[in-house]
Amino acid sequence: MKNVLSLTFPIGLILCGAGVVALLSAEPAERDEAAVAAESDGLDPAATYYVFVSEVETYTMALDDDNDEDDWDDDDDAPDLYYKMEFDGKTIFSSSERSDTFIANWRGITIPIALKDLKQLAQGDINIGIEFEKIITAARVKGGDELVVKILDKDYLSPSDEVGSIPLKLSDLHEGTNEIINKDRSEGNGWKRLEVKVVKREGSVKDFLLPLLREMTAEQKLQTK
Amino acid sequence: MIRVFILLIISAFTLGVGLVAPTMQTEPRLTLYGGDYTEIMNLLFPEEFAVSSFSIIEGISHMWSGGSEGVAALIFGFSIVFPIAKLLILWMAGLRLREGRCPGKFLKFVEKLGKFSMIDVFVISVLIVTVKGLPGGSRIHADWGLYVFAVSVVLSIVAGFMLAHRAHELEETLLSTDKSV
Repeated sequence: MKNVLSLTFPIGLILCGAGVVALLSAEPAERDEAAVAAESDGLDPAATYYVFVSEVETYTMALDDDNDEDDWDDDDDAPDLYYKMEFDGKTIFSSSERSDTFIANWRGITIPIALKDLKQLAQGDINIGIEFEKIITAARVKGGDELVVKILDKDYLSPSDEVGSIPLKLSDLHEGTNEIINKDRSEGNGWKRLEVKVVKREGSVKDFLLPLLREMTAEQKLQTK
Repeated sequence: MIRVFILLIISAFTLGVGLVAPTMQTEPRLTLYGGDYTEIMNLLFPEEFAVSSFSIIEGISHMWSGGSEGVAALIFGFSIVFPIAKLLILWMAGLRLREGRCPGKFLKFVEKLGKFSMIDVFVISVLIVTVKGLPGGSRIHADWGLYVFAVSVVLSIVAGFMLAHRAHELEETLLSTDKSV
């Protein structure tokens, strides 16, 4: 019995060794969690951010003055969607148009560049002749700003129809994708869902480069075939 | 005898460290069309392309949850159960010798187990060599935990030899005492 009891000593030593390692490695993990928590809190009012709409979804029918359903376009086509971002009543960004669609997407970046040059671009090498800031198609704002996102249906013969006007208080958003759902469908408010992406200017460029890389990898594969 | 116990104490402590410390380190890489895109992938997928380490216990847990229960059980047996059992038996044998009694079956058992010494380190090393060349240029390295684990195994082997030597001495002494009586 005495010998069996004395076995607790080596078992205790084994647990002690394991505990020391667990204790030493637990500290950085807790720091990481704290850092992630700090990042996921709102935006820094003093920092600069890129903001763009990555997806807009509209109802399939618009509403008229009497809240009756009506076609978006006279020719029975889906709306030609684009959006504007306004700050203090001034337009600070206008997107390109997405024709005949109830769901429109934007990437926040436009760049005609080969995959082989992407690495240099990500490293900030300006020798390839393109400045990263120039290829971003997003509004540049401060974290404490208030914006208005105007979603429009492009009409060529008459002024564009307003699909929705959404005030955005950036302090209510977080970095990454923010989903906003419209719960008040009415005339001039025919959007269903909005995805707004926020990327810190000083942060990683991955949110911009990721979709581009996917597209270019697919193109390169097609070319190789 | 004090040296044997010091060896066993260090062996027990390093065994605990070796089981929880990082044993394998995976370094994801991506090479496509002859180009190395690891840096760009690091930028795009920092979590997925981070260098990650696994301890023996984490490795077993991953294997078990990944459907390789057989291999997980094998490594669990040789890397956790076997070294701990060996250490406890050596400890018991040491205690008996200190009291002037023959360790008997304990030491015989340890001598039999001695044939399997280092098999635990061998199993992990084979695993590392097997998966060393991963697709896309990813690499896998032995981490410091494996060396600590190996130190524990070596110390327990040395302690086993010393105990066996001491036990034979004791047996001879007891035999000569019997003869003289």
